[in-house]
Amino acid sequence: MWDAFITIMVNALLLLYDILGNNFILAITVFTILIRAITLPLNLRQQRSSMKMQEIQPQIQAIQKKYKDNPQKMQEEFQKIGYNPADSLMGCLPLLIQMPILFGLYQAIISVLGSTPQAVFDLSQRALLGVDLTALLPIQNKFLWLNMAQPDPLLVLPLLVFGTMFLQQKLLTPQTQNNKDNKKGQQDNPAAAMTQSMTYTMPIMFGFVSLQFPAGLSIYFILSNVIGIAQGFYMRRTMPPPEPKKIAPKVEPVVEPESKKATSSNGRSSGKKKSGSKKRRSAKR
Amino acid sequence: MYAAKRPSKRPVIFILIVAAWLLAACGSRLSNANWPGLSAEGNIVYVAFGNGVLAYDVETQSNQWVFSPQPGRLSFYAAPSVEDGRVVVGDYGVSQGMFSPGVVVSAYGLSAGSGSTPDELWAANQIAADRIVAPPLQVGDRVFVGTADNQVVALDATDGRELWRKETGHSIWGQPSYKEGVLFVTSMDKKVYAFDAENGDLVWDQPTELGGAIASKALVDTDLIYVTAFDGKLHAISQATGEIKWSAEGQDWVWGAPVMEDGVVYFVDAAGNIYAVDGVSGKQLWTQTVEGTVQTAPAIADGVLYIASDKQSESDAAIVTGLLTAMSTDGGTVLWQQQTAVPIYTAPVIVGEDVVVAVQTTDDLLNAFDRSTGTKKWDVALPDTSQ
Repeated sequence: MWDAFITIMVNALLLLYDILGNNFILAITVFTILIRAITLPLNLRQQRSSMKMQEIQPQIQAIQKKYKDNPQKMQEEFQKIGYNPADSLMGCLPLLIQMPILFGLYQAIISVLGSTPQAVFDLSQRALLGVDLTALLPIQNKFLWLNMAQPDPLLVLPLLVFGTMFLQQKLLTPQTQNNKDNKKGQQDNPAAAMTQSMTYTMPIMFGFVSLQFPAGLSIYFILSNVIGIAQGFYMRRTMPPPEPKKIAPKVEPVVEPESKKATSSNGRSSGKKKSGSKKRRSAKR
Repeated sequence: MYAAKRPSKRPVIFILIVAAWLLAACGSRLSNANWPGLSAEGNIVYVAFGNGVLAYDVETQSNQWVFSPQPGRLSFYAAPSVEDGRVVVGDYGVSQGMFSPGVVVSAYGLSAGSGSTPDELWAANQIAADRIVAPPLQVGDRVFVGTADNQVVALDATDGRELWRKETGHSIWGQPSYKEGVLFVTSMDKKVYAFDAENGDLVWDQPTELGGAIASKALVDTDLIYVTAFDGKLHAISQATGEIKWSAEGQDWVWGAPVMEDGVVYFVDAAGNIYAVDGVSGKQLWTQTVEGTVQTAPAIADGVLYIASDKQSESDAAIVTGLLTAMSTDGGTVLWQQQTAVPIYTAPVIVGEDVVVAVQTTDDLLNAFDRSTGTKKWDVALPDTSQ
């Protein structure tokens, strides 16, 4: 099954390389665009789900506090505010789906660039009908100072992987979480803190491992991140930051006076979020 | 409480981190793997495989030495070059470190010492930025090394000093060939280059590129050189001009170099077809077939071709073993066949009355068969350094 998946990716890369004038960079570029196009609906869904979560986070926390000993009631209250815990897992789906693609692409690049006789022999076993491997070999593995099958010796690509991924994470993080005035809110909200930490850990992690990745795969990461950045801009234009005040009253009926403190505390921080959002919007202008 | 707990993203991040590390860790192994490189001089067989290079004395059936400078980090797969006991071998490179990811590739000059390790005469460090796949060639006091980063480098064989280097259009996987001051270098860019061995000046590069990449060395004869390529052909090329004189057709990629005896050139394609071609006219004299895929050059001695291939099990296609076929050059009659535990993708070598093949099972590294009868005579276990 996995082998068949690799074979499909290898042949897709070879076909693109053939069609695009034997230019491996172009082949990876188009391949990346195709992959991003396929996963776009999932990515958009993840973003929408993430923003919605952010919007109702104060209410979720309030309900969790109040009904911590009554799970059934908690579920009922969750349903009332339209929260389904399973949605959080769905939000992770695009990330999970991209992992086998990354693994597959990694092996496909190694296979296609065939830097040893054994690799080319394996490639010859994978090439399907319609791919004229005799004409395509050798794959042009040099671009500027790079050997596509080896890590970038000048460290430019790992830095670009880090930079573009950081920017992408920043843009794809819901705007309310970017509010510097909302530190207390983040402390009260582990999910927001987690998302915030991912903004830093993911780029560092991928930048770090890019030091050992073939340059071809690093280029895939960079292109993929650039597309993600464009997507982030699009999301920011089309999805305004949440307006917590409009939602807050919905929680009132289910929150007892004691936990109202928590709600109002969150409400205050939500209020700050809003003003922070306003500030940002006015700054944009 | 548990039923309502919001699912954490922690496991996803953990999976991502583990996956990324696996990706990085497994990758280098994938890209570095290859088959053993095998050569021989006198009674000694030399094998480059995995972490080291091994010298094995056929007569005394004992390991002479093992060269393994950085076990676990450095790999050797290119067949060692041997000239009067001096062994020159190139490695697959070692990363300089996490924050300096360039690869350092080196060549080494070795000679048998008194102990179980050879004397290192010299090490030419940073000779290339990509692997040495091609066996080096020693001519007198010079060594010529082709590298996977497209370079051909001339070294002083006594101290490893670099004398000159030239670039081709793509990786060099075939051993350079030499005749009367001219070095013939095949490249994966589908071309053959002729360099002045003294100073590296280009004598010619082929006016017309071949129809496929060239993964093996050129066979040098009187006026012609013979080159096989992935276009499935044997090409006869003028030594003086690089012009293609004639081409003999095969049916599939040809990985291994051609061999010659008594004016007849023999080559084997990947589909297992063996061709005998007149060395002057290019006329096909006979053709024969062996079972399986042939990925390497045959060996030839005293009118017998020794062809290594793989062999798929008739009952289970997933089981692939190896096959060594002895075939008469007189019409292609099969003299004997011997099966090995794993496919043989390295060219056999002839040592005295034995034909030796490299395998890489968990038990064996070398198998030797009697040239006349095919009877298995001895085998050598995979040393710890190669595992």
